[in-house]
Amino acid sequence: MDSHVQCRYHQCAMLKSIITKVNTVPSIFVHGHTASGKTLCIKRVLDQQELPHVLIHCAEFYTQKLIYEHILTQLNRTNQPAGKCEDMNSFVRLLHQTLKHERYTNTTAYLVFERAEKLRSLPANVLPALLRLKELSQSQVCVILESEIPWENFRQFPTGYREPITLHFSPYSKDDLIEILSSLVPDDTDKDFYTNYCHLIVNVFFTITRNLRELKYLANMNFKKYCEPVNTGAVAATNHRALWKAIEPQLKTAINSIYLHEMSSSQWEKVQAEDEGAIKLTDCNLKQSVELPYFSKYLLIAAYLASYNPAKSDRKFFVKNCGRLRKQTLTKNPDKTSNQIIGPKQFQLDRLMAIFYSIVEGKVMPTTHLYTQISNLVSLQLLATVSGESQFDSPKYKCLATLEFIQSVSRTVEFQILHYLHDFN
Amino acid sequence: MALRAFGAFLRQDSLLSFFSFLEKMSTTSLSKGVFSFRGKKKKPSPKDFVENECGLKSQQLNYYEYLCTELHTISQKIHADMAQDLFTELVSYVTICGQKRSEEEIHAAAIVTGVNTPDHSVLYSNLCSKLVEEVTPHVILIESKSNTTKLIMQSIASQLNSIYEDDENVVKMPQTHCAWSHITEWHRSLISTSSPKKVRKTTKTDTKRRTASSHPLVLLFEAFNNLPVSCLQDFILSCRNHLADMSIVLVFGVTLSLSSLRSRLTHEISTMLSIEAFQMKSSSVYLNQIIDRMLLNSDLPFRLGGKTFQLLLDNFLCHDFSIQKFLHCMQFCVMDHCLGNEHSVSCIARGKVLSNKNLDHIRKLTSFNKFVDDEADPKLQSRLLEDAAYTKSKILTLLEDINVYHRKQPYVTRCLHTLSKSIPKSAFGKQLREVYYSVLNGNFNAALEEDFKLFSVLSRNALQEQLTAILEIMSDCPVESDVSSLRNVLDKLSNFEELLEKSELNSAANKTSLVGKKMDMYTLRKTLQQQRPKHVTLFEEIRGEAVDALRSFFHNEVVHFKKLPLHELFYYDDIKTLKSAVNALPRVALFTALSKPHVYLHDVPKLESSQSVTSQLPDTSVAFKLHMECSTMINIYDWMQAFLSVHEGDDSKGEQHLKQLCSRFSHSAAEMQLLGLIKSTKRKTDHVTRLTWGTI
Repeated sequence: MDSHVQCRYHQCAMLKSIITKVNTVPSIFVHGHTASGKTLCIKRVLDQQELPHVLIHCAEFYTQKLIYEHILTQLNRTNQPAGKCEDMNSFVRLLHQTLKHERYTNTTAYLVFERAEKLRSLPANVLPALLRLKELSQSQVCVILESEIPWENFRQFPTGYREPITLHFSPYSKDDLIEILSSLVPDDTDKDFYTNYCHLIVNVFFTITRNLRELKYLANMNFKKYCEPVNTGAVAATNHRALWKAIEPQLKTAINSIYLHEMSSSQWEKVQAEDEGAIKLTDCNLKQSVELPYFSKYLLIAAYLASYNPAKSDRKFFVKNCGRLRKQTLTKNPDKTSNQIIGPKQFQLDRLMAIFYSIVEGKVMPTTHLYTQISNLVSLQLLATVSGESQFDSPKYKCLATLEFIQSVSRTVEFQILHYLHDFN
Repeated sequence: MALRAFGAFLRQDSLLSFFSFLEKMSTTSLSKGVFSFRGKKKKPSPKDFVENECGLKSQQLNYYEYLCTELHTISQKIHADMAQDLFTELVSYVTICGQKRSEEEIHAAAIVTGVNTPDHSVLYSNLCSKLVEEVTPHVILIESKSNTTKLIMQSIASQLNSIYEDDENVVKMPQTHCAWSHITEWHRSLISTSSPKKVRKTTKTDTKRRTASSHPLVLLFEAFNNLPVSCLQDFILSCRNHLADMSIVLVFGVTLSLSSLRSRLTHEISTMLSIEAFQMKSSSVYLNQIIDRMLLNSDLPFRLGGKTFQLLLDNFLCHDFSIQKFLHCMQFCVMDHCLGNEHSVSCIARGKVLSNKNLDHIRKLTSFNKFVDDEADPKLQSRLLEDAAYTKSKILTLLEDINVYHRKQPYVTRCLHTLSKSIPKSAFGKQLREVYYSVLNGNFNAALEEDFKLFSVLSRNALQEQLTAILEIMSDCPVESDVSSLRNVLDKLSNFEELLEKSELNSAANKTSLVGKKMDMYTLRKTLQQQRPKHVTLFEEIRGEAVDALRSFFHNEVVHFKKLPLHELFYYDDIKTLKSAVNALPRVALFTALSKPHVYLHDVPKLESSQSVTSQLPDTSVAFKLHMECSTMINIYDWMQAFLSVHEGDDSKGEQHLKQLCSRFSHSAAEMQLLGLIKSTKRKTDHVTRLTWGTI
């Protein structure tokens, strides 16, 4: 098998020197950004040497038991679960037994943990024990951890970690990206023509993304359109300038919609087919009007006011005839930070209801419907509960809606929100 | 469920009245003797309780059931119609996704449902069965309550196991600790054993069956918003890892908008999804359908009155956009109507003979009394009150009248709606529900006049369209009504050009008569001035005619239901009962119970004013009233002293009694804390904080 991984010669060589049939390294830590070829390199090296290994996607396993059982069944090469394995202790024991098998004599078994940062959410002993697995199980085993975050962030607890060998995968440079992309030339396409196209794609999108996967996706999505003038014969394949002129507006819309994946690929294809529909489609996807019941809107507005106004100012805004307010000595701090920047503050249910009753028009009975609307807003993630569940006599909330959203909601009920906000008065 | 329980409760209520009725009837037989014999044990059925000798109660029950099933079938039809478009789109999308496999992207659909949380579960279960029927048997519904990875995997395992329950070749998954490796294994076992027979599928045509392994795995997330982000991201990541093994389609139920989905996922994760959004019809469209097809249904012998209709509408629009709740409330109205209105049964037993008891009931109705009073002939009046046969025949004709009215009214309401739709700022409002509401409330006359004032904005074409639309609607109406004047106006409008030419000729003839006559300056000016005020154009004339025709038409056809005799038999307008049943006010109920205990307890005497405190009240009530007199901080000792002084003026009854009173006080104070009216405070040791506002 070809062990050649583009633009990763250095890392591959490094891995090859560590990953051998019999090695002495207990653990390796590999980190680098998404789509920088970590898994690919490790798999290539392991496959090339035909070494026994188990790949573990940590995101899939929500308890340690599942991880252990997965590893043991894979190493045993059976479908039957290898007995109960609830904790690290029994795992180490069972692993030792498994690796006694003649298949594993004089061969190191490799355990590759993808997205190793998820291991941190497991009990505190798991990660240190995995790093010392070779020592603990007294067998030939090597743990490879693969993550997007550097090793420093793993050391939550100061003790018990055996430092692994770390290997960094630096992000691809622009030239690397072009090289890799142009190597993926589709069949029946001229290589130079495609390389040129890749240059163009990388140059346009390099400022927003360096993710290889994204660029690949973008290149695939737009290639058909790029070829169109050539296929119809309008432009010669070598006339790069004319081709660029033809594709430019398309790529500009792609920056806004495709990159954010606001459209699925099939929708994008549809849009390409009928050019004029492009703007329409993005519009209907973005502008989903929010419909809320009438009192829910007022509750939400009240919550927003409670979150962004200091409690002291409530008197000023909501008491209808508050008499003469004590004239404040105008020593306003010029650099007082706006509440909009600080973010929402928590408030009590009582305050919410008081504000609600002062802003809502007409008489509203405090029915159960009204109170269930609050929890409904929480489930819609427009409010968030701050207090714990034990504090049910005075629950506290926070408003999560943005000012823009609130403004659009208050416009529908003809409520002048800005008149009631402390920051704008 | 709650409604059903309430129904049972109400039936019990009717049971009581039924027993009291029996007591009255059977006093004579009781005096003759008492027999005791052992009968066979019988399982009681609801009919045993509600039946009596004249079969009235069972008729009532039948009537109620008939109405409920009618309502149910209508609502089911509406549900099916509303969701049909969405379902067909989704099914075709999922089918395409299942065929088009990609290892980079997970195909996903987002159903934007809008805010009506309790209604969604029905929708998703319908969607599930539809997908199972048409696309793939591997559809898994992940309910909103499973909001951890563990629970999601559990529900996947149990549902996949149930699909191939009888098949031994297919690997069974562990219920408790299911991992993705189990699912891939399960899928592999499907491929190796796949044969169309193994699939437990509902479709019967063999040609439609494909091999089980090629079916996509569809995961339907009922409530996307309830899932924690980390859990969802892990799930999507693992889905992507297994895309090579099988094709997976995710369907998310999103409540508000698609942007909430994007804002919750990191960019890396959202790039793995290729989402297409499907918008559900908003619940107000649903409501319009319900009003159009259920409330304006001419076949249904049940109507909501103006007030009840408004309450249901308000609850829907102001509190929750929940169709299900609306329907439940409707059902409650039907139930209460059937119970409170025993003679309403006679509505459906129209042709049958009315019993004397029914007649007595009907004679007591206010609308019937009014009808009798309006009767000019005193002889007929007395006959109506005394002659049973005559009254019966009269009632039958009246019922027939109402029936005709009911058949006509929906169409007339729709006519009004078409009118109000075209006029900007119509006094009725743009929606059918608003028009219907003003028809039910009887204040349509004023609104109609307002609308006619605005009529001048209509152009000729618009007026013509209006009239044709109204005539078209009325032509569908099963009952004939007088539209001849409307038709006349319409004819005039369509022949407007000819009429205009004629009138121009006329006016030209008038003008020529001036020429040639010899007259001085003064007379000429005067004749010209006389001719000038005649600038009512022909069109304005016809428009005036149209307004008159429409006015007389609506005045004849739109009659407020309260003016009809016997309307009580059809209309439910008991706002008080409905309000207390539908709009629960827990806090208010608590306060009434404590400040006016005689409302709930019969052995407590009624107080002159709600402030007065006597020792006859229950302890908690006394403590509550005393605490209402205090400020925010309550000194417990003072409170207790006040409590003791209420119960006895002096402590003459000895220490034992005093101790009892003290313990009674602490008991009631504890109860008040439990009810959330007071709270202990750390600021002062012997004080409690008041959590209530104001005084009584």
